[in-house]
Amino acid sequence: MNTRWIYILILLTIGIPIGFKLALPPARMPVAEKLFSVVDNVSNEKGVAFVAFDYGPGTSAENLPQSQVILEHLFRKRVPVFIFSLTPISEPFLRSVPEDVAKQLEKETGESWQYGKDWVNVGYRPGGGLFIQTLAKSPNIPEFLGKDVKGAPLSSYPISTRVSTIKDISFLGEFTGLVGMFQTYVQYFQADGYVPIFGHGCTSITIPEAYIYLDSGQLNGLLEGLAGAAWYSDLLRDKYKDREPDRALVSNTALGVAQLVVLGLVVLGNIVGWKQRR
Amino acid sequence: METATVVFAGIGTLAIFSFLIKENPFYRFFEHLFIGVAAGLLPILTIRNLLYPNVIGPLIGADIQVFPDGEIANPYNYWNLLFIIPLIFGLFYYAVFIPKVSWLSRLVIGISLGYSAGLSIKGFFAEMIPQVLGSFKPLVVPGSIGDSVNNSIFVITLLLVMYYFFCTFKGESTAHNGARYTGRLLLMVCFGAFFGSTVMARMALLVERIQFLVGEWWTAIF
Amino acid sequence: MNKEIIIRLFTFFAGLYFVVEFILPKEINEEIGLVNIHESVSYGFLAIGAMAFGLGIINLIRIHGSKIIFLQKGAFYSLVLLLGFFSMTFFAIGDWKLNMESSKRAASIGLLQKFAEKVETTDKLELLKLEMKKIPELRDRADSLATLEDANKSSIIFQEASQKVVNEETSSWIKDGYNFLNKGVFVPLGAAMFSLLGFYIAAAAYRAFRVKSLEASLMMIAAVLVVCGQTSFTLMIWEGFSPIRNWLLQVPNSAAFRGIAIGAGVAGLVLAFRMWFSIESGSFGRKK
Repeated sequence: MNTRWIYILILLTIGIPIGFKLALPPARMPVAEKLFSVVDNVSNEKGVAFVAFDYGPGTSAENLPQSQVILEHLFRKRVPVFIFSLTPISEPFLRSVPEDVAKQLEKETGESWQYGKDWVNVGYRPGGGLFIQTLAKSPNIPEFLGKDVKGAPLSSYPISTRVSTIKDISFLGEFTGLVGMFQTYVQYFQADGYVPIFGHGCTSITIPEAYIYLDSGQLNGLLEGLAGAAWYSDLLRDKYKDREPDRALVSNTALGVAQLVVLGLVVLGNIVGWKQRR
Repeated sequence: METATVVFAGIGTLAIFSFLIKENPFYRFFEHLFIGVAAGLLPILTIRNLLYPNVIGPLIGADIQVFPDGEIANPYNYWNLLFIIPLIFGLFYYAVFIPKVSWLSRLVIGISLGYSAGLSIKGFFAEMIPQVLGSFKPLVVPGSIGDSVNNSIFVITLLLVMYYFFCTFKGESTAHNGARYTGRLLLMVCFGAFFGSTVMARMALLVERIQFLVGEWWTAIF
Repeated sequence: MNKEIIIRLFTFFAGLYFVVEFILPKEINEEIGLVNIHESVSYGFLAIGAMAFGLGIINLIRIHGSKIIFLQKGAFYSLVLLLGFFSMTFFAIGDWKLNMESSKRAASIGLLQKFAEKVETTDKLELLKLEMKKIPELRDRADSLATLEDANKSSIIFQEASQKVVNEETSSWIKDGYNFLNKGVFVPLGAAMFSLLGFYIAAAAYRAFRVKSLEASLMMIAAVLVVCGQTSFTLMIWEGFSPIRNWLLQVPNSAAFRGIAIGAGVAGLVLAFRMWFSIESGSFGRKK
C-alpha cells in the first residue's frame, strides 16, 4: 500500500469524528480520580498552589487540556495559584490559559477571578534544578522570585501575603512532555523534609514512566495524556453541574478511533507481510 | 487581527502538512519562519525574567525608590556589586570567538558542568531512595491474595530486569541465560506499554491540529 | 598555573558548593552562614548559565547572515528565518516595555502605600495627598484620608488601585504583533511540525511492526491492551480492558521501568562524579 493512502486514511479517521462532533464517554482513569480528590481537598483557607506549565506547542495537544482542567478546579475552589515554567516555549500558554479559564468561569458563575489575587504569572525561569532547589529553600519565596512577567514586584500583589516558604505551598502541579523535566521537581522541590502534594500531567509517551513515581508515593495523582484530561473534565462536570462540556471529549473520541486504526494497520501489515513471505 | 491570526495559523499548518507529499518551497518558508520566531523568544525571556530583574536590576540599583519626603525607601545594597563576578564569568562564553583567550569559554563551561554535577548528586538521592524503598514490597500480604501475587510479580520483574541490565557478561549457566531471557521478555511488556502510549501521544497532536483546521480555521474562513 | 588545572579547579569548586550544602545538616549550614547566602550564590550560578543566551544568536546571525550576503543557496529561506527572529525580538521587547510602564505605575502606588503606612505628621499627610492626586487611580480617594490614622490604615485603597493598574487591558499594535507571532506562528507551526509524527507512526505501524518472535508478540499484546484499555470504543465492547490496562501499567510495567530507572540513575551518578572530578576529557579540549 502506498504510504500516502495511509496518510489519507488517518486524516479521514480523525477528521470524520471531529467534523460530526462525535463525543463518547471517556475511559475511567483511576489515577486521574486520585488527582481529582487530591485537588478537591486542597485548602483555600491558607497557602497557595504552584503550577508549572513546562510544555510548548509540541505537546500542547495533551498538556494544554490537562493544565486547563487543573487550573479550573483550583480556581473554582478559590485556591490562589502561582504559574511559572522552566521552559521558554511555554510563554504563550502561561498567559492565555489562566485568562481563558477565568473568562470561562466568569461567564458560567458571574463571579470574578483577578490577576494578582487569584493567580499570578511568574513566567519562564531559567536554571532548571538549580532554580527549583533555591525556590524550595527560600525563606521568602515572593522576594526570591522578585517580579512577575509584567515586571511588577510580586510583593505588591495580595496573593503574596499567603506564601513565604515552601511549607505554604499546599499543592504543586506540573505538566510536561519533556524528558527529565518532571524528575527535576521530584528531586528538588522539597526542603526540610516537606514535599507539597504533587500532581503531574504527562503526555501519553511518558505514562509508563510516571507510574513508578505513583507507586513510590513521590506523586499523588496523575493525568495520563488527553484521556486523563477528558476523564478529569468529566469529573468536573459531575461536580459542577452548570459546567459546559469542553472539546476534550470530542478530541478523546477521535483519538480513540485513530488508535484503533493504527492497531488495525499493524495487523494488516503483518497479514500482508505473511502473505508476501508465502 | 484575531481572524488574521487564525487564518495565517491554518495556512501555516497546511504548509507543514504539505511535507507529507514532498519537500516544497511552501513548507520550507514556514519551517524557517517558525525556527526564526522560536529562536527570537529565548534571549528576550532570559533577560526579561532572570538577568534584568534578579541580577542587572539589583546591581545598577534600578529598583531604588524615593518617598515623597525625599527619604530613600530601599537603600542600595552594596553586596549586589558582587553580581559583577558571575556576569564577568558569563562573558567568558564569548571568548570562544577570540582564539587567543578561547580557553576561558572552557572555564565557564567547566563551572556549569561542576554545579550541574554537584546538584545531580543531591538529585540522585532525592529521587532514587524512595524508588528503592518503594521496591521492598511484602511478598505475602495477609488477607489479600491479589496484593501478594501483584507484589511478587513486581519484585520478580524488577530483579530480572535489573539482572538483564547489570549482568551483561556471557555465561554458560542455564540459570544465568534463563534469567536474562526472562528479564528481556518482561522488558518487552514494558516497551509494549510504551509503544501503545507513543501511538496515543502522536495521534493526540494530530487530533489537535485537525480539530483546529476543521473548527476555528474553517469558521474563520467561511 | 596550567590552564587545564585552572579549569579543573573551577569545575571542582563549583560542584563542591552544592555537595557541601547538601551533605551538611541544616544546623551547620545555618552556623557557617550558607543558608543566608544560598539565594545569592544560586542567582550567581543562574546568571552565569543564562549569559550563554547570546551564543546561539551570534551563530544564527553569522550562518544565515553570510548566506544572505553572499547569496548562497537557500539565501531566501535564511532571510525568512532572520526576519522571523528579528520580528519576534522586536515585539517581545516592545511587549516587555509596555508591561514595564504599567508595573512602574503599580510600583509608585506601592511606594505611596508604604509612605502612607508610616506617615506621622500632617505635613507629610498633605504631601501624600498631593502625590495621590497626581495618580489617576488614586485621585478620587485622596480626600478620604482626613486623619493620620486614616492614612496609616489605608492599605486597601492602594492595593485596589495597584490591582486596577495591573489588570488594565491595554491594546496596542505591539501587543497585537506579539500575539500574532505567538498564536499565529509559534504555537500552530510548532504543533503542526510535531503532529507530522502522527502520520509517520501510522505508516511505520503498517510497514515496520512485524510480529515474528515471542518478544515482538509480547510487545504487541501489551500495546493492544494499553490502547484498548483507554479507548471509548473498545470499552463499549468489553469493560474488562480498563482494569487489565491499569494492572499492566501498575505492576509489570512499573517494575520493569523501575529497573531501567535505577540503572539509569546509577549511571547518571557515576557520570556526575566523572564531570565533577573532570575525568570526562571532552569538555576540556584535551587532545587525545
